[in-house]
Amino acid sequence: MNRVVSLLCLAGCLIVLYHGQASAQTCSITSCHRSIVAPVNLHVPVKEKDCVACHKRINQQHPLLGRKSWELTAKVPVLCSQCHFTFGKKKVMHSPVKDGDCLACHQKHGASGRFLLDVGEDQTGLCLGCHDSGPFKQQFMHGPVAVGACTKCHDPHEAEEKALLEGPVRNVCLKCHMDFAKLLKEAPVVHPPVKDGPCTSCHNPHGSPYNKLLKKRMPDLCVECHTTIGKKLAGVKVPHKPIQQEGSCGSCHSAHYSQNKRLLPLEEMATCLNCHDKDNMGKPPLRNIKKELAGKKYLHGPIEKGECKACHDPHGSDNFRMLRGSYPADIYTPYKDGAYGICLTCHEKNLLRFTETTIYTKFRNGKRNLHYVHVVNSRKGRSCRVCHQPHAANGVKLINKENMKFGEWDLPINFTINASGGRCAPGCHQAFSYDREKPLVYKTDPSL
Amino acid sequence: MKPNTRTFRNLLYFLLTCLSLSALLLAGCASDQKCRFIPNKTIYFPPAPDEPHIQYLTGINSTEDIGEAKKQSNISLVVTGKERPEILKKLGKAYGITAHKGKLYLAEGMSKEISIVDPVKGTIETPEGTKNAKGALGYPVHTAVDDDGNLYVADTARREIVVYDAKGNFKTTFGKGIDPKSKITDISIYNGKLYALDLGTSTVRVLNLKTGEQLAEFGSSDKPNQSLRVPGNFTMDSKGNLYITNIGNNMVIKLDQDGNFLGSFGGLGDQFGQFVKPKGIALNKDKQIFVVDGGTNVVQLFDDQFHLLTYFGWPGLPFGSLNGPAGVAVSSDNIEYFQKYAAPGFKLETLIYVVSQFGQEFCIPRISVYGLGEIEKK
Repeated sequence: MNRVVSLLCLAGCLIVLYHGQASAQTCSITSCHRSIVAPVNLHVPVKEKDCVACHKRINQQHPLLGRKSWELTAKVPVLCSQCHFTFGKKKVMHSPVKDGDCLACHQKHGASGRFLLDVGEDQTGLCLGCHDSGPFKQQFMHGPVAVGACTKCHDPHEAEEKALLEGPVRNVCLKCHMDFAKLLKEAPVVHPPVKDGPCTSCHNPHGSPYNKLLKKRMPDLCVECHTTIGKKLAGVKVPHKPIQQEGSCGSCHSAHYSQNKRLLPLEEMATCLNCHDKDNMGKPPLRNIKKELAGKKYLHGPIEKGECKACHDPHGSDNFRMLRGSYPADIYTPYKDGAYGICLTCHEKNLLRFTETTIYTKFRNGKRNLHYVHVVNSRKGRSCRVCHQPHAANGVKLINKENMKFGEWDLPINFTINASGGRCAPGCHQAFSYDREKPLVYKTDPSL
Repeated sequence: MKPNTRTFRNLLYFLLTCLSLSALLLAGCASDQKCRFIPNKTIYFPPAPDEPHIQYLTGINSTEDIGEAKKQSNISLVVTGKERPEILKKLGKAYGITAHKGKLYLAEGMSKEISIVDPVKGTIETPEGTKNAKGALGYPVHTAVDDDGNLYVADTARREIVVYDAKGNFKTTFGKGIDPKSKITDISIYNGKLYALDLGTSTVRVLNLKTGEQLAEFGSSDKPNQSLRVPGNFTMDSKGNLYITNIGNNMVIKLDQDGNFLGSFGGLGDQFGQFVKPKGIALNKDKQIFVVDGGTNVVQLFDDQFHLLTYFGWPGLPFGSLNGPAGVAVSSDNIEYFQKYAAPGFKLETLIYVVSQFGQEFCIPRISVYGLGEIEKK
C-alpha cells in the first residue's frame, strides 16, 4: 500500500514539473510565439524561458479565441520595477521614463541591440523617433552625434543636469576632450566663458551650419559679448579683412586659451607678421612688414616694444591703414589741423603749431620750425612718410636712409645730422643745412 | 609842607601808579582777545553735503601764528620794557607770495619789505640787504628764488628787479632801463632764465638769470585774444609754459616758453570760470590751476584742461574768507606741520597760501592757509 502511495506521489510531482516546463517551452517553441525568441538579445526571463516571471494564466484554456487566457502579472512600469531599479530620484527625467512608458524605447522580449533596444551603436534611429531631426542634420556635426552615440552625453533615463546630461556641460565635454582640458589647465590666458561657463555658450553640441559647431558665424557670435568691437565692426570704414573672411576672429585669436595676452596665438607682433610677411597679399599688395623690419638699425618705438596696435587698430578703423588716428593717405596733402592725429598722439602735440619754436623740435634753423615748413602747407603739405619710415629705418629718427618710393623714382633723402643741426640733399630740393644755435641765412628761400 | 598834604600827595601817587599798572594789565587782557585764525569748526570747500576737497586751516599775521606755541605776556612786556622781536614780528600789507623749500616769501609793498616766513620754525625774517641803500626796496610786489637760494624781487617803485644772495645780502639789479614803460609785477625762474611779467608793456621778458641780459620778449601777437592785456601775475609749469592772468580782458592765457599761444580761459563776469579781477595764479604738481579773483574774493581751481573744479574763500564765512586777495602760492612742503590743523581724517596733499590785502580789522589774516586733500578712505 505504501509503495502505491509513493509511486502516486512521484507521478504527481513529475506531472506538475512536466506541465510547468511544457507551458513555457510551448510558448516559444510552438509556432504561435516563436518570434519572441527570434531577436539576438533576449530579455533575461525570456532567455530563461520564464514567461511566468511576467505573465500569469487567467484561463485554463489557451489559446482562447477572442479573449486572453494570460495577462501581465502587473502593469508597466510596476512590472519592470519588480526586477529593475526604479527611477525618479534625480532632477530631470526622460519623458517616457517619467510617464512609465519603458516600452517606448525598449522591446519587452528581445531586441537586435543591447538593452532591449532595437538599435545598434547608432542610436539615431531610436532617438529621432521622437526628437526633431533638424539639429542633427547640419553641415558640421559633433562626432558622437554623427555616429548616433547619444548616450555618450545623455543619460536615457534620468539625470541631475538639464537635457539629461551625465554631468555639468563642461564636465561632459572635457570627459572626451581630455587633451583640451590639460592644455586649458596649463594656459595663463583663458577666455572667460571657457574658464567658467558652459561650452554651449559658443558651441552647439549637436551640429551647426558653422565650422567648429559654433552657434553663430564669427564675428556675429563674438560680438554678442564683445559689443564695443561689434559696434566698431558695423561702421568701420577700413576693416581688417581677415575678420570678414572665413577664419574671422579666429584668424588672430585663440577662442579658448593661449599663452599670450588677448588670446593671441603668438606674441602681438609675431601674430601680425604671421600674415604680413608676404609680398603679394592684397591688391595692390600690402607691404611686407617682416622684410621691412629685418636687419634695420632703428625701429619705431612701439615696434621696438612689439606693439603694432599702438598705431593700428587690428579690428579696423576709419583711418588710412587702420590707424588709430588721422593720417593722410597721400604723400602730398593740404595741411589741416589734426591731419596727423596718430603721430601727434605720442609725438609733441605742438610740433606743427608754430612757425617758430625752441622747444617742440630740433629740426629747426634757429627758431624756424622746419617741420612746420615741410608739413603745414595748405596746398602741398608733405606727409611724415616722405622723410620718415613709420616702422623701421637705417637712418636716425627713422629718416629714410634708403630711397623713398616716388612713383617710378626711388627718391633719395640724403639727410645727415650733427650736434647743432643737419643737412639734407634730397631729390626734392637743393641741399640745405640748418643750425639751431647759429641759424643759417639762405641765399634762396627754401620755403617749400 | 604840611604832613597831611604830603600824605595825600603820596596817596595820590600810589593810586596813579596802581591805575597805570591796572591799565597795562587790562590792555594785556584785551590783547588776549586778538583775532583767532584757527576755526572752532571745520570749514570745508565745498561745504557739506558735497565731498570736501579743500579745508581752511589757519591764518598767519605774525610769528604768534606759526611755529610752536609761544607768546610773550604783557607783564613780561612791562617788566622787560621791550618786545622780543623773534616773537612779535608782524606781517605788513602784501601782494605777492612765493613758496620755496618750506619758506614763504612775502612782498610787502607798503612797508617796503620782504618777509621770509618759516612756519615750522616760527620765524619771520627780512633780508639784511634790504636795510642798506643799494638794497632798500621801494615797492616790492613779487619774489622768486633760484636753486642757489638767490632772491629776486620785482620792485615797481624802483622799476627793476633787485637781487639778493642766499644770505640776504644785496647782489645786483636787473632790468633797469629796458623800457621806460616797463613795470615788472611778477617774476619766475625756469631753466636758468628769469621770466618777468611786464604789466607796463603787456609782455613777458626773458632775462639771463646770471647777467640780467634780456634774451627774448613776447606776449603780443596779431590776434588780440591771444595777446597779453594788462597782465598781472603768472606762474610756470614743469614744461616751462606760462599761465598769465590778464586784468585787461579777465582771461588766463597759456603761452609756451617761446611765447606761442597754447590756450586761454576765463572772461569778464562773476559766474563760474569767469573773473572780475584775476590776480595771483599758481599750479600744483597735478597741474591744477589756482586763480585768485580780487573782484569776487574767491580762488577758483581749474584742471589742466581749464575745466573749473571748485572755488573757495568767499566772503561771509566765520573763518576762511578772503578780502582783496592778491598773491597765491601752493606747495607740498610743510604738510606735516599744517596737518594738525586739518579735520580728523582729512589728509592734506597741497597747501594753498593766499594773501589778503585788506580786512585785517575784520580778522582776515594776511596769509590764509588752506589745504587741498581728501577724506581718507577707511
